[in-house]
Amino acid sequence: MNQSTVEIEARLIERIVERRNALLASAETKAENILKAAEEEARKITVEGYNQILGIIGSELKAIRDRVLGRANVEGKKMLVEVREQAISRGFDEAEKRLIRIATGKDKSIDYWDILKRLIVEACSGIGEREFLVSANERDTKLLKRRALAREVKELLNKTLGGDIDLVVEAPTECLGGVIVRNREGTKIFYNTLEGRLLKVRRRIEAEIAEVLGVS
Amino acid sequence: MEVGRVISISERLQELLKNAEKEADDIVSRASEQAQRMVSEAKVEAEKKTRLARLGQGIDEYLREEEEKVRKEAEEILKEFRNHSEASKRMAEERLQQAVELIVNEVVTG
Repeated sequence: MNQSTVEIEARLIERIVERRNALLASAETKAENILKAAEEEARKITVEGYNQILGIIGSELKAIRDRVLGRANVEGKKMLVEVREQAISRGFDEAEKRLIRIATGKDKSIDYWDILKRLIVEACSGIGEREFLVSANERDTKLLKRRALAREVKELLNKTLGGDIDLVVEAPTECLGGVIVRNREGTKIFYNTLEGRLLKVRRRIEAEIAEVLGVS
Repeated sequence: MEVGRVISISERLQELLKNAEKEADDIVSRASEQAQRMVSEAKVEAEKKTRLARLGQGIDEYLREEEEKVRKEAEEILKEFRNHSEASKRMAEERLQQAVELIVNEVVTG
């Protein structure tokens, strides 16, 4: 066998083997693509079926959604309401502490004696008679019983209400500050204590306070 | 004699090629059959589940899935509310003195 025959044989074998490998590789690729397409098709069918089922049980799904999300919203809103209430209460608690400091003279930024006089005048004007019985806490009762201060209050009342006003300071009562004023017969009472006013203010401006605190 | 040998080899190689073609066809046809099976199984399964759902059966899994999905949404909602309430608390603390001033002023002069 000569050299050229061997070379021809080798080339022939090589070409055929290459062709065989190419055929098989192409078939593998084709098979892979077929399977991939089938997987995709099966996935689509599954998804369509899933969606169809979701359509069939739509009302049950909606009920679950409404229940779970509804509960979350209620819980969340409750959380905000609690924050609002706590913030407002804290504001009023701090205000009460400040009022105590003012009424006991520890806070000098506001003249409590001026406030007390104004509260007495307001209460007497509210009752609208000429003889009054005034109750205050022990500290303020002592103040009101001092002759000079008592005269100052009486003069202010005479000036505001006109005429000769009779004011009797009664035994002390429990309150932070301010006064409770009655007419002589006790048929009309005007509560003008600091805590009473604080309560009224809370009812009146709670929404405004919430806004100031940023929790409205 | 050498020409004869080359021809013989050539014939054997052609045979090899024919076998490879058959093998390739087999590979493709096996894949096609498997693909058909996959699609048909998916159809049967989907139809079965749909039929059962119409009868109100086999839907627990879907309801559980939905509940799980919605629970995650609900967690997000609550997280937002929590963030909002924390921000509100901080703001209320920052503005506390302003509110106290307003209240005290209303009590003593209002």
